[in-house]
Amino acid sequence: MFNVGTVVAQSTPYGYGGIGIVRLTGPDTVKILGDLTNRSKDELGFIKPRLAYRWIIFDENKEPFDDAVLTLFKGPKSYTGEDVLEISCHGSPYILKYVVDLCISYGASPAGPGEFTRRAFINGKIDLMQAESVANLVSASSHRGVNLALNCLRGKLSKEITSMRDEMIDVLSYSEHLLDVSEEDLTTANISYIINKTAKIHEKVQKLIENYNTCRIMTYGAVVVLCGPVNSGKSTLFNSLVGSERAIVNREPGTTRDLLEALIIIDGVPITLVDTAGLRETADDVEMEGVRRARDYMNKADLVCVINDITIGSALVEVTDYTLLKKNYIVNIYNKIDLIPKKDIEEFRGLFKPGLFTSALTGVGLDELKNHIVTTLDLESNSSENFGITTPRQYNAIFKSDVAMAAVLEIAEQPPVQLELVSFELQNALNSMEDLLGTKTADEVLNNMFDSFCVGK
Amino acid sequence: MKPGNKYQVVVVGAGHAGIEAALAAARCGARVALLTLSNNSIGRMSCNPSIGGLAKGQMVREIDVLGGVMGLAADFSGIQFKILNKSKGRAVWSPRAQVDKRIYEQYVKESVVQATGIDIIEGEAVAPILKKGNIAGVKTVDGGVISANAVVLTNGTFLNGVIHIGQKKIPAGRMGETRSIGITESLEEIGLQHGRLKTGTPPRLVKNSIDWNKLDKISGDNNPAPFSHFHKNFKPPNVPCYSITTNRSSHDIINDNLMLSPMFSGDIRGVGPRYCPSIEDKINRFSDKNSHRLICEPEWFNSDQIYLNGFSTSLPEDVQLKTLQCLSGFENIQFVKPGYAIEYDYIYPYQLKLTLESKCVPGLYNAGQINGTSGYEEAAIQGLVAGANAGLSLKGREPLILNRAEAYAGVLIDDLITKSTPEPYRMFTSRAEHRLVLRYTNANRRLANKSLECGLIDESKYVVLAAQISATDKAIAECENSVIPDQVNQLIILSGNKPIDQKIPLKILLKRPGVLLSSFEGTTISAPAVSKPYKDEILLEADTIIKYHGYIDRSNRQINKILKSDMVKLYPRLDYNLVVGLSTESREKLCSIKPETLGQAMRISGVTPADISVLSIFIAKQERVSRET
Repeated sequence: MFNVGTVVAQSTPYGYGGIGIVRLTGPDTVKILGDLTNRSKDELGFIKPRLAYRWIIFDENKEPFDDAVLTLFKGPKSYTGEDVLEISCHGSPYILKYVVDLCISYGASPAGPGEFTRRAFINGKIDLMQAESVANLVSASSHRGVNLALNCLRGKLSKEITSMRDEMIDVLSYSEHLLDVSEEDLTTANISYIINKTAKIHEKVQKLIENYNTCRIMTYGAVVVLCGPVNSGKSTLFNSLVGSERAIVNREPGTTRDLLEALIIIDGVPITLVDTAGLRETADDVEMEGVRRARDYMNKADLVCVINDITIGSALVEVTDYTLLKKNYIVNIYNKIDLIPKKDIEEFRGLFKPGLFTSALTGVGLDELKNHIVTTLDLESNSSENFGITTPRQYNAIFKSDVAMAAVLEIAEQPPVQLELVSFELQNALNSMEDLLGTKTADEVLNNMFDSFCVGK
Repeated sequence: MKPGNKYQVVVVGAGHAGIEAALAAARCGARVALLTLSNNSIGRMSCNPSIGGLAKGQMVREIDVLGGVMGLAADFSGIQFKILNKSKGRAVWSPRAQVDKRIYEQYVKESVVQATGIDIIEGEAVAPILKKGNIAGVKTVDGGVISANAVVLTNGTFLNGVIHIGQKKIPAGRMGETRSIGITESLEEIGLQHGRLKTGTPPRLVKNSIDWNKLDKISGDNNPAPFSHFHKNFKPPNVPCYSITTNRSSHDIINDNLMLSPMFSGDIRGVGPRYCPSIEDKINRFSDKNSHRLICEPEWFNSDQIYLNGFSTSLPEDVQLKTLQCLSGFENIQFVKPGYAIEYDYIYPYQLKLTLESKCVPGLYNAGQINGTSGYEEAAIQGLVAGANAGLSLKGREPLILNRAEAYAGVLIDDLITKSTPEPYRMFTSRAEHRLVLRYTNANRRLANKSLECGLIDESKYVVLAAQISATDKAIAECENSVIPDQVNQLIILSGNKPIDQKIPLKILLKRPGVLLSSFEGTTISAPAVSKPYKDEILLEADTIIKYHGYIDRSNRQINKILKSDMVKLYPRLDYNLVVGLSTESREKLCSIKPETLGQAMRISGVTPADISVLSIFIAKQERVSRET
């Protein structure tokens, strides 16, 4: 498609495997294929795209080197939009590195990170959101996350946003038509048309925003932070939840000075569990740093579990930091119930803020906690749409569009209507959607205006 | 004519573009030859008898601040003035006037005759003369030569013009005026590419053949606003126009005869404007509409000739007549001239710089319909910019370049270069992404300084503009004054707002829609110290600045961001084939258009945001390399 050189990279992870894949893309792909397999131009002329060929790869001295399976994808019908060659070699790291080096000696250069996807984007094979979903798909940590990323890659989200953008262009063209061509005075019918159409799109945008949380968590996992006073049993709880002895547990207060993270999956929901240093004033520099990080993490968390030592009982101190957090993101946990008589538990229930009673040591109350975490995350598990925005960039763009549409509705409902301000906000909403798609449509409004409405004298 | 004469600037064509070009070049101190096919057609209004309109009115204001003649001429010859779009928000309000074509032409011609440094030469240019790649003058049809350091081409619809009326084809530049041949071909020879466009004009009706009682009267504003900023008094007449609507039976006649229109039979290859479609086009494309509005406009005061706005057509004359005879009021209609379509050559404007100078032929400037635009105002402002730049460059001075955020003229020229629109280009407010700051009431503030710096206006005119700006500022400052409930509540209630219960600054009260600053003149604020025709407008502008404060701020933030990318220069010798990662479409477009700035590259259709990132990284890298070596 265009002359920016041919790049090569090993596509499978480093290390030993049954097979490993080397991928090439760019204008010299076919030539390099010939060089690798010792085949003439004429022979290559007969090669069928998308068909696997079992051919020998020759080394630099033209001696047979590996028995490989090669598949050629001719551009533009390929992932990158340019010629792509996939070489399945035997999975020794030496073989794979050697084949990559061979390709480089034949004129390819090493691909940068994400280069294949970047080329696909630049060649218009995928839009920005699809490009992002490739990364999501590769790193997806739950079944639903895979689903979301795949749907996004297949363009389901792009299609939805594109259709919203098209509707937006319609409303904007209508408004521009009123401003620029129509000689009639503004009527209430004109205004309600704009309001109705905008409200409809706005509803869809809000739906995407509502689902953002779920989609993000399904893709990247929810951050659940365990925090609380020193020696309340955070690390024991962390270990019980993770199911392995990862954190060092010690009776001396202030043992966990740094953060510990682990990925666990509860009911298919990926969760990054974070164990933090106990919150207390301290003179120890290292511990102080741990406390600072703990506080940072609490700000980022999707859910904060505040763990209290129930044996301290009536002396339970509310750490002021917690009250800064929004209520619905907090679970109060009263730990170490194995150390008090069963009958006292009910008594405590009345005294404390609502919460869960656990024994991290014996495992009592952990299932309840797991359930509680998943419910509190408020995932739209029943959401019929299996796609949504997942990255902060996408969220930011859609949020701006949401704000602009809300402004449209506000201005349009306030007589006398300043129609050019309505248009201004519609344009802002449209721009944000285009940011989301990574496209621009500067001329579409005018074209649409001319084509759909009878204009002019 | 005086062959062999040496000028600094030759302007070819004396229409709206040519006149402003000649006048602007002369104001910048150049010795100018204005070459016209006929002394009698200087400043002719070939189509509608009106100036201004949506977005165009703003441009006339800009022309006026830049010292041009269009606004003054329209005010002098105007017979009905109206601010359009009054019901739609004031950033899109636009002044428009019906004018007396004859007086307009006289006024314009007189301005050229009176101007120092302009010789009017009757003659026909056939080709530009080049010396060592630079322009050196023009050859005329009789073999003569007019030498000059700069040439401004403003040939309008005359380049290989062909008039179509039904199947009839007449070679002409306007009805009854010879076309010019040779120029397109000679421009092609020096490497410029061209295309073909089409435009049309409606029939002119015999006044006495209309039954006026059956038509609806449309009057202008009672409180007319002038185009020009420089009047002491302004009392134009208010002559009405009349409207009439088409009906089903007239549509049927057009539909039956569609194939007789050269637009539909395929005789016309040129592309017509979608926004100003011929009547046959309207009826064909919007078949669900039962009627279209037409307006009868007098061509001059007490004119016996009526312009039928909205009925542009190239159908045969008898079909035009039969169609109109179906309308109530037009039963006995007669024509002075039938409507017709005209096809003409234009030179693709992407080959120009923002100064309107050709990228490949230094000293050659193009302005007006030759650049593919339509409309008097569009032509005039280009002529002004081209003429000014021709004059300024000869003096070695900084060019006049207007950006998209300071003038519609800036939007127009930038669009011509980057958009390559395949139809005649007309200005719309929606083409200006920053239209909230491009109001007809702030053209003085936007352009006065630039105009003075370029020498397009003298000190005396600048003082007038400066007084208007400071009167606006003073009015805004006085809005810090507070008002008390007793003083204003009656007024507030009348405007449909809730009364106030304690004293508040006037500027807070003005944020409410419907509460207007003008109501407080003489009480809370003093009367603006400007001449009478502008008092209301100053208060309107001050009121707008207060009411739109938040939006204007937001626009300005967007503008600053964009202006930054307009500051990044792209050198004409930049080889886009070396930029790794551009899509093929962008690469081709960038290679042919050769944008002058990164901002301009961004606006080329087909160039995506991803391409722009790739390009800016490339430029940054190159700059680093050139700094380090």
